[in-house]
Amino acid sequence: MVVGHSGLTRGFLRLRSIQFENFRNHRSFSFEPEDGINLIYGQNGSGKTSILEGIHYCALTKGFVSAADGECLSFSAGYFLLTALFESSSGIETAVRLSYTKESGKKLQIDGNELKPFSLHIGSIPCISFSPPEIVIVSGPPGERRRFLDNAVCQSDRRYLDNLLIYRRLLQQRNALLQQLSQSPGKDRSMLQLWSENLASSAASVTAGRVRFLAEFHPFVESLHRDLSGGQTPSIEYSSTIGRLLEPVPESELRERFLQRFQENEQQEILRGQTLSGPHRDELIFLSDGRESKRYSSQGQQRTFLISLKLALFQYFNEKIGETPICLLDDIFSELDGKRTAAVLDILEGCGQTLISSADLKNHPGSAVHHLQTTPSTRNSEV
Amino acid sequence: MRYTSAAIEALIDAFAKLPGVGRKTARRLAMHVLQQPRLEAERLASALLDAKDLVVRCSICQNVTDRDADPCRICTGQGRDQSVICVVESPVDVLAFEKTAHYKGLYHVLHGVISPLDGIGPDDINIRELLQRLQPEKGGEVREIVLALNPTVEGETTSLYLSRLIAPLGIMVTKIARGIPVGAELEFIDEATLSRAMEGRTTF
Repeated sequence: MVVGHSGLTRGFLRLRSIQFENFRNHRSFSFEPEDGINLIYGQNGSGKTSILEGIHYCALTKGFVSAADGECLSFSAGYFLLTALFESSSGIETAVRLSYTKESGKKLQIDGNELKPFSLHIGSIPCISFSPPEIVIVSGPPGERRRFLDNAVCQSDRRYLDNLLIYRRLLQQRNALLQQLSQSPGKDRSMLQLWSENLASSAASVTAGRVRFLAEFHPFVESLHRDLSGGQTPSIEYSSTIGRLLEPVPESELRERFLQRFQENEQQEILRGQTLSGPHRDELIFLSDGRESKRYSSQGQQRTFLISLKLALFQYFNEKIGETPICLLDDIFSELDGKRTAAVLDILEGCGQTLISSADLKNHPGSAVHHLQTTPSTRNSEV
Repeated sequence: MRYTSAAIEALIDAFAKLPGVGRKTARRLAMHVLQQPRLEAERLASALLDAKDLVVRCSICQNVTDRDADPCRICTGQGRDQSVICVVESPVDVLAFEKTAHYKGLYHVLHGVISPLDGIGPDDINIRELLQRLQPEKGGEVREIVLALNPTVEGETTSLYLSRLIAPLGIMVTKIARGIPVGAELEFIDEATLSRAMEGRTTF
């Protein structure tokens, strides 16, 4: 079941080259990564993260961290332009050209043809990123974990996104009705039953999709985390408002349980004017050796857990989609000790193309090292 | 910038209130009206008033019709199958079905769907009028209700609501199929539609 480690026999997706023009602090800059692991190191502010962000733009048409496109412009520049050349595992080249101007926004060209909408491009260059702010997935509020989960499931199951959108709409409608009922208590409640039934069916399909994904995903996390953390056993529990769901449950049963819960809570829901149970209130619990990571793990351990999750996602997609994603790891080593760093690098070795930014040099045999130096705003060179 | 004529300003304001018309377009329309002969402006004005004065809802199907043609020509039409009623959301949906020239039954226009977010409940759309058409004293002719509402969350909920109300009356309730458009290539269909089409497959 577990891939990775021993190295992949098939080819993988590669970034051949990328050119930056007026992107963040790169006025004009060209970068050609090697296959395998690429370590990009340089001083603070030398533009390491910007390289990763540029690649992220070309793969997913948006920034690495949630920033407005305009923020990626170099100061006083009117446009930015990214040109990247990718090569798929079967040797087919894709030229991506992404431009942005303040007046006409973002434009994407694939092999010279303009592409719209951007969603058509997403998924064609699979890409996994890790950046320090994402630690909230482990340490932050439940909403962050739900978003992480939803993003992951959506990428591997297109129908899930559809179900999720329907669920959100139904939820809005039911909440609106609950508010009306709370404002005028004498109103007929027969419509509430109808919305409850609809919402229960939708909640069941969303929950089933999540639990199904977690069951498939878990083995990947387990073996990775054991290697990275030095023997700790991770587990992921899906804690639904209808109880903990440790293994896939038939949708019809989930529906009944949601419906029952809606009926039990009806009075309180009307009082509060909102739906109190369902996938929008569910929680994902990450455990390390049976203890909840959010509460009991150190920062370094939380970070290790997140890296395990991200690498597991990488392996999972690799198996599901059949194309090895490009790994963009921003400042991954800053809170890991030497042993864990080595373990991460060991795992990445067999994982296609990886780009890692770091403030100081880590020597790892077999990886390409790119050193960014000089003040980047004046840089006009190649690495 | 404001015009020197209050009348032009008023006209621009009136045009700008129309859906899909912005300030700039409203200004162009107003200037166009100014340049036209008086006769054209009169025609426009009377067409607007006629639409308000002469158009009513058909007393049977609730579709729009002229005051002197109530019930509408579909409800009274020769060769119409009186035993099937197709329930739609708005008059434009009737037009869409009529263009097929294939459906020969009757219609019922709800003028909306149930949507608590917009404050629309079952009493705010023409459901009562539909149920009245199904009463046995009306002849009991109706055998089938076809639900042809848009496949949105609100449309589906309204369909479910209607089916719960009508099925106990012993009338068959059906829903139009959804899936792959005619003439489309399978490879270009989005995954969600395709997986639903697979679920709703029929025996050949």
